[in-house]
Amino acid sequence: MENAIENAGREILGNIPAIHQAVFYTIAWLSLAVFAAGILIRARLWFLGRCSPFLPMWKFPAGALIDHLRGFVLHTFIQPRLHTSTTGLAHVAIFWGFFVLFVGTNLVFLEHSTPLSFLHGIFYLLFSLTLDIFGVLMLVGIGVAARRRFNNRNMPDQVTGYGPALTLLALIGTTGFLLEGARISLLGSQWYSFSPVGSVIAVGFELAAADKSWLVAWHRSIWWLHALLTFFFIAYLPFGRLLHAITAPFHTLVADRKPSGVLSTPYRLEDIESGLLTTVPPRVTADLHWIQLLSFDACTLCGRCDDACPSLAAGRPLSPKDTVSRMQQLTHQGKTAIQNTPLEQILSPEAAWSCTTCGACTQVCPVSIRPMDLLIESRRSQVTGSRVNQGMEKTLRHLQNTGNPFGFNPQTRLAWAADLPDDIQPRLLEPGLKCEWLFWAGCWGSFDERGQKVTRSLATLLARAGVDYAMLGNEERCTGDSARRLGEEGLFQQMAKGNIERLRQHGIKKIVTACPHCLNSLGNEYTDFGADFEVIHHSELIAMLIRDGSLQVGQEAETDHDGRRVTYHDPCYLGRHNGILEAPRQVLSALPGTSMIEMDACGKNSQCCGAGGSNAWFDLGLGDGMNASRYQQAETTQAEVLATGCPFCLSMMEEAASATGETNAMAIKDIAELIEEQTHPRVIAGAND
Amino acid sequence: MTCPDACVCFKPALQVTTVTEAGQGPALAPSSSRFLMDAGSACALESALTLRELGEVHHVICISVAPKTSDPALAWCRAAGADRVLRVDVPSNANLNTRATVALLAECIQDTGAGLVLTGQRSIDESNGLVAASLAAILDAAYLSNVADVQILEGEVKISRRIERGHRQLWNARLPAVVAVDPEPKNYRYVSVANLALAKNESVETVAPSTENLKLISQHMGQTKLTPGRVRTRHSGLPAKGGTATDRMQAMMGTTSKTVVRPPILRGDIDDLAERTLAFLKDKGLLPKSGE
Amino acid sequence: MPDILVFAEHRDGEVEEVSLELLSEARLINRSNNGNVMAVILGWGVSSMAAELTAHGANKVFAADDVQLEHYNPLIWLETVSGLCQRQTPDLVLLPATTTGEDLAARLAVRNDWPLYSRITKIKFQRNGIQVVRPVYAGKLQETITGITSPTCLVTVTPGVIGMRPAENIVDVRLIPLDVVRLADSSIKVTGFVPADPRNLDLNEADVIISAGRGLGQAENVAFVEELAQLLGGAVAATRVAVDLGWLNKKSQVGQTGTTVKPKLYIACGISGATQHTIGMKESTTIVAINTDPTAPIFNLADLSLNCDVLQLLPALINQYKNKYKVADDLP
Repeated sequence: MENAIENAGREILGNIPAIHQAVFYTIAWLSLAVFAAGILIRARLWFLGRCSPFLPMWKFPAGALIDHLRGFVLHTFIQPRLHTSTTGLAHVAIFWGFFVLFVGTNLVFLEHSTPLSFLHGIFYLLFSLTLDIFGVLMLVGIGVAARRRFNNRNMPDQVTGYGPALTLLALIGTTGFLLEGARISLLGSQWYSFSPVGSVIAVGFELAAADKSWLVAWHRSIWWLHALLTFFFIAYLPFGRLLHAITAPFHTLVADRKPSGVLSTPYRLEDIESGLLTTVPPRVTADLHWIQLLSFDACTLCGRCDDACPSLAAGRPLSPKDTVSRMQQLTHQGKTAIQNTPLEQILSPEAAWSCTTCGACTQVCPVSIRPMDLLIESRRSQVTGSRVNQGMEKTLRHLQNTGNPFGFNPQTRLAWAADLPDDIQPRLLEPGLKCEWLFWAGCWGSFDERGQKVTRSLATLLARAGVDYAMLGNEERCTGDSARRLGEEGLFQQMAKGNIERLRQHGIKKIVTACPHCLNSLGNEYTDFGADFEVIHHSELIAMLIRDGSLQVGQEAETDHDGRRVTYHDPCYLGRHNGILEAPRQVLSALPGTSMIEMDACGKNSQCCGAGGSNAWFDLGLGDGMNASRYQQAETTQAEVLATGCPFCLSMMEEAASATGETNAMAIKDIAELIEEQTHPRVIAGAND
Repeated sequence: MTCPDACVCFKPALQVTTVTEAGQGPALAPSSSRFLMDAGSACALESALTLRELGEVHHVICISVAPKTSDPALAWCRAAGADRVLRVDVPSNANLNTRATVALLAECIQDTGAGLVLTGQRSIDESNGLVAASLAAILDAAYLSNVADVQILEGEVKISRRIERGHRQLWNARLPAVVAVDPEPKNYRYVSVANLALAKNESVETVAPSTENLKLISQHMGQTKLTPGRVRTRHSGLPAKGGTATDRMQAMMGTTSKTVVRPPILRGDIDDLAERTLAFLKDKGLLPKSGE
Repeated sequence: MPDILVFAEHRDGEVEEVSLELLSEARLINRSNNGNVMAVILGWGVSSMAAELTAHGANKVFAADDVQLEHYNPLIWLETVSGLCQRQTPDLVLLPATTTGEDLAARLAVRNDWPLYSRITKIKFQRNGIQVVRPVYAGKLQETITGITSPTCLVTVTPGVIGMRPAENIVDVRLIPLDVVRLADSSIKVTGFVPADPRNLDLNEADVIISAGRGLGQAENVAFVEELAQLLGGAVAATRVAVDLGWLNKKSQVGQTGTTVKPKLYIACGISGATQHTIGMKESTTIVAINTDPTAPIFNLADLSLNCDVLQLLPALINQYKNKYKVADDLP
């Protein structure tokens, strides 16, 4: 062979006269300028949000930087949240196709314009093959997307703007292959197997051309067509739906990677008390963090959040997609709108209050947007404007006056323990008393009759297992989770500080609780205020106790539960927000004679019971049945028992079960109660009198 | 016709938290001297703010006769949206009687030139319900009590007042008027902790009362003595109600000294139970009078 | 020998019980003191009530009986009663602590510069003046005021505090008609009266509430609750479960996410008493609970606990009430 592998390569811009090249480069720079201008115009609006984007990187802890990088790599390049559907995979194909071609084009540019030289030899051959494969991949992806679009063309939620974008991309891809074919037909190549598509097209050109001058003309025309399409694409990108190609990767890089159950801290109450702050944010869009404003532009209106939202499914006037979309439209209106339009004007109160903060929208968003957080921001704005309804006002007033959302006398927090036998009575914390665990009962567990049963069960288990624990008793106050979800940030901070102070005075380090909402606040949200507690769920502790033998399950079972089937409902604040999925299942599988059946929507895909986001405390009367819907899902497993690990879920499921009116409805039990039944005969006298 | 200004008058309620036995009998513990907004005044302010939002009233001014220690309670008014908050400064140990309260308030109200005065039905004085009527007399204004809804139209105030059994009476009066707002149901807007903190940072306007009015303070008719309250018993012979659920729980835990009577659970013949129930209700006067 | 004037109120043709309580108290005070107990009553058709007032202790009954006086008019009442007081010079005027009584008391006090003490629980005539006892600071403390020496002292008393003593044999009814005072100026005009709609009674304002819970079984059985409510003059409420099941609408819901009520009487029919519900009604003055489950938490709150089937008890209550207590009102 005359041309050895080392000589494999490509002549770049071979057929293009110098004057054309000059024009080409001019247009190139123009289009890049328009592109940059477009991005900068949008960026200026993002940066109207609070906090400076120019933070010194060295001030970030290494762990945070790694989290960001990991998020970026995962969601920009691997896009795992899109793997669940064909269309999602099509997007991955489109992205990778375009990305590789983009890198390839830049390599060609570098080869041509800089002293660097690498596009030759084996590298070039692989380069060429790769580009062909990914080009096809991109076109296949576009094809799948186009077919879906065509099939759904009459659906109301079709987003305009993607049609032209996809068409443009398809044209660019196709003209690219045509260009390759034209080049090969013009210049010839013996390494055609490494440019399969181009080679096939080249054959076509050669056959169709009468003589070489046709090929020259065709190549030049296709070259110009491809170039103009590409430069138009580049210039147009910031102004259409394809902006997400820039904003989405950027957002996945900078987005806050904190757990979904942790809400932002919009201000410090001390700053308001000291006079440093003279308004209470957030009121307008500009009060939001600039990364949140960026996130609006990262949204592609894919609608996965809507598909996941249980409130929307239950008929409430809440659409997470619509929420982000409205914010997107608002930012497009410019600086005045961003700085002046009140949040509750953009996000309707009905929508904001319908949210149960389950976090499903945040979990499924492929570009890491948090629609849930936006709804809370709207709530915050409404609370500042005193726009809360009576149920919310009642709950907040109770929290302020009595330290619990029910309004019960705080001196009755130990009523649940009144009839417990002495050996199960909890120890109360007092100055100087050291204990390993603090058992945090929570308001529901302390005051609600059903919740009190769970607290008694857990206290019994802890006593039987000989755990070294104590309780705050009447000193305990609500963690403030309800206040924060209602948007009363000031009250939450007040309560948080009070709790942190009390716990610190007692020297508490480890907390166990049966309520995932308490767990989330104490363990995650309190860290923003200087707390550093290790908080675990009671299922985790029970699992530990079973593993190390402190709790013997099934030795003295009173009833024979052979063949009993149990299904488990993952509470949102336990599973999705805090990733505690295994421990409850381990505990349930330790129950003798009991088999576990999973619901279809389980684990992190569990469907919300409807009580979160403080919805337990107020009633909008707008489309209900979230708990009924979830209960029906549980019923389809045909299990006898529905187990859960959250007092809100317990209450909701019981309500749903009793509302069916069936005499053999599922028994709704907390994990602690199920285990307690199997560890010791019930000896708590008077609990049900 | 221009809209009147509305003055909301109140005396921040002293919150009694503990009652201790001193050498010569019970007294208020020092920890009790905390001032709070009370529900009646909050309802009155809510009425005024609603009128302003409807455009029927121009400015909402809150006036209080109280010592400096009540400023945090007054901050609540500003946080809720009052345009001005005034405090007539009196010494902290002043024992304000009706006459003094009325004189001090009237002086201040006249300075503001407001046409509408609102108070909680029993919020200003030691709940004798006298101050609002006296204020009306001094200001030559109409006195309207137990008001549920207020409307202002062309210099006239139209009210509906809530009376027993859910009925309403409708009254009209020419301005100026003193309106005592029914404190039930407690419908007033929520003021967030942050807004309250903001409001506390702004100082309250202080007004110095005239010396002659100051002299009226501590002019009491008769002597007053305070003793701990008691659970009332009914003369009809039935025992005191067995307390609320809270009381029962506390009784169970031995944390209350109230004796709690938990009635037995009755079972048996249905007609017998029905008879006993009706007798029980009749005894308590809960059955409607015959002929209704 | 203190002269005492009692302001009597009436409703639907009957004297209000609180007025009789006040008369009992006045009679008691005067038993040992030989003073005069007078009653004043204004309204339309009130002359016939003089007998009952006298039976409970009034030596004289002043009645202003005119069609104009059908509804309370503050200025007419003030002029009439104030004029009477000026002529009769009572040492003590007792008024009920009702919306009318308190309104009138305040106006009388201001017009005549007399002291007024509201919601007293005890009153005594002593040598150095009148002594009254009243709760303050929401009942946490009691205030005792001694040495009240005004020529006339006004006092209001909450219904139910004193208790009524039985009527005595009537000796002699002295009914003195009063003229209705014509007002020159009426800065306050009474423009209307809106009666409460018994079917649509605001739960916050109802004195009696009958509440429907899941124990009723099905929607049709709510009719029992409604009938009982109508008979007792009360409003119908519901638990969240009953509302979710569609038996009653959301406005009737009592509880955590509904209304909080404080009626004089709350009858819980087939309600278990879960926290979310009891939060909304635990401050009711009297609670009657009907439930088949003897362990139902509602029994911890109830003043009268009935462990039986609500679907049997309600009809029995309705029948017995109709037969024994209610006077038939559909006779021609």
